Amino acid sequence: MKNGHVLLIAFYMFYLLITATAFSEESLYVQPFRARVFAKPSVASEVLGSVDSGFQFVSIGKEKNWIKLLFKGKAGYLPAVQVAKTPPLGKNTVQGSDSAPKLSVRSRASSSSAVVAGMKGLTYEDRARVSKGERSDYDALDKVDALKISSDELKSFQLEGGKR
Amino acid sequence: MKSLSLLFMIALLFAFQPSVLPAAESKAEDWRSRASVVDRDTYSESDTDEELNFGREIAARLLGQFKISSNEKLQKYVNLVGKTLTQNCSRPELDFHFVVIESSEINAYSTPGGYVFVTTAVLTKMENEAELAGVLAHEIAHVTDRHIVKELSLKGAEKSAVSSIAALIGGASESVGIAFSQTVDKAVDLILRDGYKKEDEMQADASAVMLCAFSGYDPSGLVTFLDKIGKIKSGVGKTYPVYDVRLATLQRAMSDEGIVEMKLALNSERFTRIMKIEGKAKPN
Repeated sequence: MKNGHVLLIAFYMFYLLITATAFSEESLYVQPFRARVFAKPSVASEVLGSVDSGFQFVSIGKEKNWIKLLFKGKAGYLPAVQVAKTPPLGKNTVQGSDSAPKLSVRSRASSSSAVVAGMKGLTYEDRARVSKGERSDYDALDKVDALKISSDELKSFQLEGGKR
Repeated sequence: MKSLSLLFMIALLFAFQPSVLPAAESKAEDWRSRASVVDRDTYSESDTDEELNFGREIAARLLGQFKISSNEKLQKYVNLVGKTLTQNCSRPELDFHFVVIESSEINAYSTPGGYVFVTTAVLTKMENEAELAGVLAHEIAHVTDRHIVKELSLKGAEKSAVSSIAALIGGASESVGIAFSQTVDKAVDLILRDGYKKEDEMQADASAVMLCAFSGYDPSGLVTFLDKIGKIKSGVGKTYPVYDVRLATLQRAMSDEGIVEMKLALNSERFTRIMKIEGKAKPN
């Protein structure tokens, strides 16, 4: 074999090593509340188990849109859309009391909607004036926020489902 | 000759290299490379705060135009379906809210931060829970992928996409407040009148069927629903791209993911029962 060819193959092997190392050492985090780990890179394949939000793992490869990992001693796959390089963000709520509302007309300081409306330093009337005249309904928004679903309700709803 | 054989070898070596790198990310047309959550790295918790507050303003504006359905059981049902989906979505930091609004418009809307609206008219066109899940999942995808924030080019000079929202919210002067309100106007226009980009709609479709499959809903629900609505609307309005193109793209995405043949839950009986007893979802 010619020297040039040997050099070329050595370069290629080095390239493979670098790229493989760069990918295989990537540490990733599961994002949804719970994600299923599949035996093959397909949602139709066997489910090996599930992992919770924030689960950290080191990927050992990628096939199309699936991330490969070692799960309970076996190769498993997680959908790429359900993982990220950073841990999941914490639950967010409406902007807090730091941005004190400056409502002069319709003061409802305890309401989260009031905070939203007031945080720009404008009254409801101001807001109506600068918008295209389209009305905003913050009472309705409060009603929407008030509807809560308990985890028990959700669980029993899901158990009752699963039918054609 | 020598250099030719060397070139041939180089080409051969690189052509047969194993796919250790994310191949999908190299394809610009791959929907999932657009939907990737990798760009989350550029977002912080305070960004999400601003996104949520921006979304609430838009939601309040929408609620100023549409009346909430007074049927609490129907509201709860739609929220249960929606929450089943959001348990599997890529942004657990968002607290999604699902709202049935009274309107004769066959449509669904969503705002940044997680407010999803479905009209009473759109519910009357559905036949099962999987179709409802498909529509909600499509809207959830618009939220998780921040389509409005990106479409409005709300990009700060040096920071993340939502940093300029933060600047608008944080600003105390009236002019900043006016700018914020005008940005909300633009977002409302985009949601109600102009519609999303074709690419965003298709990406949301593809993400939606996967989210349905992850959540146990038959991914065909969105397909059957779009097919039905495409025939009803027959290309009227600008909110959606042409339906046959959209459907073809969606079916290709489903085929790529191997979910075309999946037979998951439709929950037809439960849906029919809710709509019959609780729904009274008659358009105005």
